[in-house]
Amino acid sequence: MGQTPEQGEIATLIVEVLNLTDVSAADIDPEAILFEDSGLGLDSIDALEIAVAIAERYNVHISAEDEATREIFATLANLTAHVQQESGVRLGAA
Amino acid sequence: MTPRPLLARPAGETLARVPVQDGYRQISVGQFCADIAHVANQLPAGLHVVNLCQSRYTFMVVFFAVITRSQINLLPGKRDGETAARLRTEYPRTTVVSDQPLAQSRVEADLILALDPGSHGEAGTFAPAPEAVVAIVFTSGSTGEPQSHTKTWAMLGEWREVHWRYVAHPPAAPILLVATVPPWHMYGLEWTMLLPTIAPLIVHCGPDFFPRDVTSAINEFAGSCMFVTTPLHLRALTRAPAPGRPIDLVVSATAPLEQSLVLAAETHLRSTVLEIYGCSEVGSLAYRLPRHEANWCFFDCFELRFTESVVEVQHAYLKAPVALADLFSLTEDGRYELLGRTTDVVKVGGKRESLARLNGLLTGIDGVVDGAFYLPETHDLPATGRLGAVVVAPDLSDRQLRDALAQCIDPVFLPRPLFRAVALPRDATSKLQHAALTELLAGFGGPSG
Repeated sequence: MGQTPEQGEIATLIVEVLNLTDVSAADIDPEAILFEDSGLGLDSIDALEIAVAIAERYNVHISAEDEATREIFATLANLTAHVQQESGVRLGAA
Repeated sequence: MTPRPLLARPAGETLARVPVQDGYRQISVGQFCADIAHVANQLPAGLHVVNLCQSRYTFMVVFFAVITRSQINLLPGKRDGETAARLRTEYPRTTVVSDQPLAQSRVEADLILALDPGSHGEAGTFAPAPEAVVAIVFTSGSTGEPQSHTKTWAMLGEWREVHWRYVAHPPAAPILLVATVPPWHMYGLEWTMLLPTIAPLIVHCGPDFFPRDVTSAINEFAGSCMFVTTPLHLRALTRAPAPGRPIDLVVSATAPLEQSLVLAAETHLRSTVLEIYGCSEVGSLAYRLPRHEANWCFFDCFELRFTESVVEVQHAYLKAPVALADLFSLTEDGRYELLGRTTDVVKVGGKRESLARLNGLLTGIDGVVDGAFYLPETHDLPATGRLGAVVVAPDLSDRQLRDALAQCIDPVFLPRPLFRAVALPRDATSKLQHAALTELLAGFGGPSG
């Protein structure tokens, strides 16, 4: 598995905003499915919380009208890549 | 009694706005009627329809088409192929309708619909019989088994008029209606599907979920706006950049609204917040303007009966009085003060569950010695919209505990945060007193650890 530093930063954000006291950010597999019955079992309420936190921290605004939303939230790797691409700055610099 | 028509709006008014590739398609009341007729023609003969359409507009068309065919809408909260398949066996002659193939399911829809933008049909003069059952709404009951609630046209047809009459300061027409609540939930059904059949509303039919969706929808409309939502989505929108124009009216229901959120939302969104109290058995029951009013007014069509421990709601259209899950008392100004819950039922993400049952499931897990779920705000912790839990399970890893929980409870009730303790501070009769749990939770330093 092995997270990149950027993935580690987004993993920390997820653990913080969702109060995942029983999960350590470093344990989130970048390629594991985040939502539904597998992986962390996150749901749409969590997606909303994550989207709000990402908007506040990186000024990246996720929209459900975007066809790719499901893909963006599929894994930590996808979510991180999306935030990196849209924010136009390196994570960690914020 | 004069039958109430399905639709009471001029054919030329705009009823919905559907996003297309380069903007929006405006749908008139007349086109809506044509779409209803087009879908009604495609529906097979039968008794029930499970409507799994993803698009809000198609869902709305199918909902009314089913009624014009004198069939019954089955509106489950869980919208997957497996649930539809179960309903197909429980309810005779059921058709499963969708607007796209069912994702991640081995079950197939009986009918995949595509609307025809060029369809023509009769204008909506159809008036269902008052006693006709038009929908069955399902809620996750406190025992875990979904409970069904039957809705007749008399109920839905009259109540939409009652609701509109009580809308605080209706904005100037036409009004764009943006909603984050699903149309198959009783609150969404009333406020986003039925209200537009009589009120000058244009239903925005995008996938409105994230703050950015709501803001774009509002920014792209040069008129009044109404936002039908929940405290959870309202909090999210209040934390995001505000839309470029005021939201004239925010309607919130499904969970209590904190005063701090009301003030923040009214300022940030330049809005008035109307709060609705209701239950799936009946629908919307009472309202207040939380900025100015601490107490509630019940819609005047209901009769209230106070017994020692519960408030019952009665209406000519209800087969039997409905006991509310909350206790109210009459105040001097003729309004009602919400005193609190009569049961331990909690509501998360629009789903209801009993804390006692959740605790039973938690302590029933192999390796869990003791444990308790709690609602953060009742223990002086910030509301997170989720339940928390404290667990005593010395031999289970966090991962094992989480996997076991995920197998036995609905994901919306998965506890966040989940604290581990050596023991729970139970009293001599092994009860976990509220104060003792509050003190234990305070020791964890709040939800963010």
